[in-house]
Amino acid sequence: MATAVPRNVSPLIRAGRWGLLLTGLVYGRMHHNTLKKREERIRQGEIDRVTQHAIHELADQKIRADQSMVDLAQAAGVDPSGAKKSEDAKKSGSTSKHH
Amino acid sequence: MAAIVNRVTALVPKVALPVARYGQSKLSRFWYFARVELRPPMPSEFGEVQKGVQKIVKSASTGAWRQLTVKQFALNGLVGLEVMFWFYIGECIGRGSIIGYRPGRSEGIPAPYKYFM
Repeated sequence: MATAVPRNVSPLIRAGRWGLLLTGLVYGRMHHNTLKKREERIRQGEIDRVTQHAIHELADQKIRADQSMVDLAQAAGVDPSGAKKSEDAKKSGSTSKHH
Repeated sequence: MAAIVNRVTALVPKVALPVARYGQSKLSRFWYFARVELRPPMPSEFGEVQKGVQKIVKSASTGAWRQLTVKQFALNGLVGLEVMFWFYIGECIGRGSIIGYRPGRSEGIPAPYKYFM
């Protein structure tokens, strides 16, 4: 193989090789950009979905916490709405005292 | 782990020069052939390219390709396949990954692996 000499490849084959290389490059880049745009849209939709889920979770958590406070008051024998009313009366009474 | 790293870092300066010389010899041999065989077609050769395309079209239309020997037909087929493969290599380069399109995947993986996995 050390005596091998480079041979003149026909220009048609060389043009085909380089032309197809550049075509493939351009096609690969274009298709990749298309897919990236589609992926970005899907990713944004997923982020929105996860955010909505988190918001709903927090709302459910707050509702459950309030409910547990009411249950605790009932278990302690205190009327929860009654406690709130006396609290409001106390507040308005204190403010009416200091004028 | 630390022992392996130490051994590698001790070995690299010793091994670097022979590796570089080996690579240089292989590369120069490759360049000796590539500068003739793989050169892109110059504008002066576009006339021959045109003639070659016409020859192929004529051979396809008159049925002259059936007069080829099997060996010549197979060789032509192999050359055609090789030319087609360059398209797929270009596509690999353009999309930035060896296997498949990865539009959203490159964020999590470090550098050499994100082109394969």
